[in-house]
Amino acid sequence: MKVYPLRNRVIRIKNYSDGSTGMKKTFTRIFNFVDSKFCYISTLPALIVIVLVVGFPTVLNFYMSFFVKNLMRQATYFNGVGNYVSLVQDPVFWSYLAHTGIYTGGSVAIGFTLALCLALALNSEIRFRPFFIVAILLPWMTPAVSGCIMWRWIIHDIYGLLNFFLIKLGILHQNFFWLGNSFTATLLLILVDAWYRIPLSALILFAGMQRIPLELYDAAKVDGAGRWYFTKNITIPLIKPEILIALVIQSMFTFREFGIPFLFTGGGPGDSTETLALYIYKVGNLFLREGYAASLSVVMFIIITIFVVGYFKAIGEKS
Amino acid sequence: MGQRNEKFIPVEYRNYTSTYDVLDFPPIWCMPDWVDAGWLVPLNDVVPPRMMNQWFPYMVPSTMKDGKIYFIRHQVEPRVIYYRKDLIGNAGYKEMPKDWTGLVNLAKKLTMDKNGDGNIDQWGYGYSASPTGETVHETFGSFLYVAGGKFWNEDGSPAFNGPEGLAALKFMSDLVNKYKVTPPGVISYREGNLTDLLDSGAVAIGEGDCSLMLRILSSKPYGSKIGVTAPIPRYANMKPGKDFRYFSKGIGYCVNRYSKHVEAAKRLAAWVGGYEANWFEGAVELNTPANKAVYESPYLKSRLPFADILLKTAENGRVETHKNMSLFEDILAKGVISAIHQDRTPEKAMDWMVTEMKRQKVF
Repeated sequence: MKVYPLRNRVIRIKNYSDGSTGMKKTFTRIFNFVDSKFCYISTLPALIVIVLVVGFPTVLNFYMSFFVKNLMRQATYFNGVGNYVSLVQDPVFWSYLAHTGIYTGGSVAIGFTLALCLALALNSEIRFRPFFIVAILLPWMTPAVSGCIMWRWIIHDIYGLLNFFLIKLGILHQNFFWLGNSFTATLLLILVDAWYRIPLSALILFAGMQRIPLELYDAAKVDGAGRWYFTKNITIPLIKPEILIALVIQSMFTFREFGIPFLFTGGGPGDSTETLALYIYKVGNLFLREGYAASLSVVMFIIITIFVVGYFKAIGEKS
Repeated sequence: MGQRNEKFIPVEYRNYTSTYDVLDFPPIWCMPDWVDAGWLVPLNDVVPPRMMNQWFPYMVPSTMKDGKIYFIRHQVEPRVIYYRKDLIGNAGYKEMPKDWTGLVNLAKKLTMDKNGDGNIDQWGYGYSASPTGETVHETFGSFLYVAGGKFWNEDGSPAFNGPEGLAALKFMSDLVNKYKVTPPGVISYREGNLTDLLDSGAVAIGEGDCSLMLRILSSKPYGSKIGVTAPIPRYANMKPGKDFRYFSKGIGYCVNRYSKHVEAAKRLAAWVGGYEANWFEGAVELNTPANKAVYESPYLKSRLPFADILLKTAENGRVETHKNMSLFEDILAKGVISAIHQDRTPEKAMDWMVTEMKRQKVF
C-alpha cells in the first residue's frame, strides 16, 4: 500500500503497477492529473446536462425570437427585431408585466419576512424544534396542485372555511367571493405563493444562523444586549450571504411561476392576475405563435438576470 | 394512438414526424386550421349517404369544409339543464319553465337564506364561467344559441355580437347582478364545482354538458334527486330546430395525411360513425352517441340516463368551427367575465371583444 497526501487528507491506494517503474509513474501521473483537475472533472457531468437542457434551449429560444413562427399558418420567416417591437407596442404585455411585478414583489416581501421570523424562532431555544422544522416544511412537501386546490376550497365563496370563520367571528355578514375581486384575488395569490415558498427560505436562513459562533452572542450578553440587538447587529449582518440566496431564489421562482397563478386564479377575475408566465404559455402553447412567445421569454430572462445582478450588487458586495 | 393536445399535434405535423393513422379529436378546436394546413384526408368516399342520414343534421357542417367531410363523430355533447327535483317541488313547480322570464321567477323562489343568518344557502341557478379552457365558450354559446343567435356569419365575420348575443350576455350578467339568483363565484367555476354544488343542493338548477357531469349526477346517491331537461329558450314560442339550436360539441375521428395506412384509417374512421360503434358508445361507455339510429335500441335506452332528453337536444344541437379557436376562446372568456364582473357593461364588453379579436386577427 502506498500513501499519497491529498490536500489535508491522507488516502491509501493499492499499488497496481505490478512492480514496474514505468507503470508506477503513469499511474501516479494520472492520479495527480485527476487530483489537480478534480473540481472540473466532478462538475463535468452536471455541466453537460445543464448545457443540453438549459443552455441549448436558451440559445435556441433567443434565436427563435427573431422569427415569426406560426405553427397553424405554417409560417416561418425572419422578422429581425419585429417581435420585440410588437412586444413593446402590446398593451397586454405591459399590463401582465405589472401584474407579475406586483405578484413577485408582494410574495418576496411577505414570504421573506415570514421566513426570517420563522428562522429566528427556530434559532432561539424553542422546545420541540425538530417538530417545528418538519411542520414548516409541510407546504413545501405538498405538491403545488394539491396546495392550490386546498386553498381554493378554503376560500370558496359558498363552502369556504375562511368565510365560515369570518362570519362566526362577526367580521363578515355574508359570504364573500374572494377570487371575484381584483384586489383580494391578487392578495390571496401573493399569500398562497408566499406560503409555498416560505419553507425553503426559512431553511436557508436557519442554516445560516446555525453557523454563527455562539461566543458572539455570549459576548453581547455580557454587555447586556437583548434579543433585538442580537438580531439587528449580529444575526442579520452575519447571514447576508444566506439572505442573498433566499432573495434570489424566491424572486426568480416567483417571477417565472406558472403553476400557482394558473391553478389558483386562472388569471382571473377577467385577466387581473394574469402573469407573464401565463401569457407566454398561452401565446406559445395555445395560440401557437412560437416566435412571439420566444421573445417574451427572452424579456423575462433579461428581467430575472437584472434581478439577480441587482441583488448581488446590493447585498453580495457588502457581505 | 397516444394522448396528445392541440399543441403537439401541429408540432408533429410541422416536423413531418406524425405517423398517426387516425386522430380522435373535437373538430371545434382544430377543423378549419388543420384542413387549411393540408393535414387531413377527405373522407367522402368512405361515408355512404345512408350513414350521413343517421347523423344529427345540424352537427354535420362542423365536420366539413368546402363540401368535404374531414371528421366523423362518434359522440356528441349537447348542453343540458340539471335541476334538483326535490327543491323545484318544494318551490311548487312540477316542471321547468318554458322561457327565461319563467326561469328567473323560479330561480328567485329557489334562492333563499334557509337559516336566517343573512347568508344565501341555496342559489336558484348556476353556470360555469372559469377563465381557463373552453368553459366560457360553451356556457355563453349555450345562452347565445337558445336566444336564437350564432357565433359566425357565412363569411367568417362575427355574428355573436348581434342582438341575440347581447341578450345572452346581459342575461348571464343579470342572473348574478340584477336578479341575484346566481352565485358571483360562477366566474371561477368549472363544471366540477357546479356538479358539487348541485349534489349538495347549494345550487338548485345548473347548466352543463352531458358527459362526465351527467354520469356523476345520474349516479347514486344523487341520481334520484336530479332531473334533466333541454336548455330553456329565451321566449316560450321559440321552436328548437326552427328558431334556435342547442349548443352541442362532440368528438370525432379524422385521418392523418401522413398516415402509412390511409385507406385502412379511412375505413376505421367510417366505422366509428356507424351503428355498431355508436351503440357501444352509448350502451357501454355511457356517452351520447352521434348516430341517431342507435337511440331506437331499448337496451341503450335502458342504459343511457335521460336518453330521450339527450336525443331531443342532440337532434337540434350544433356547433360552429372557426380559425384560431384558442385565441377566440381566450378573448371571449375575458370579455364575458368582464361583463358578469361588471368591469364593463355588456355592450362595451361586446365591443371590446370584437375590437380585440380584430386586433389579434381572429377573423
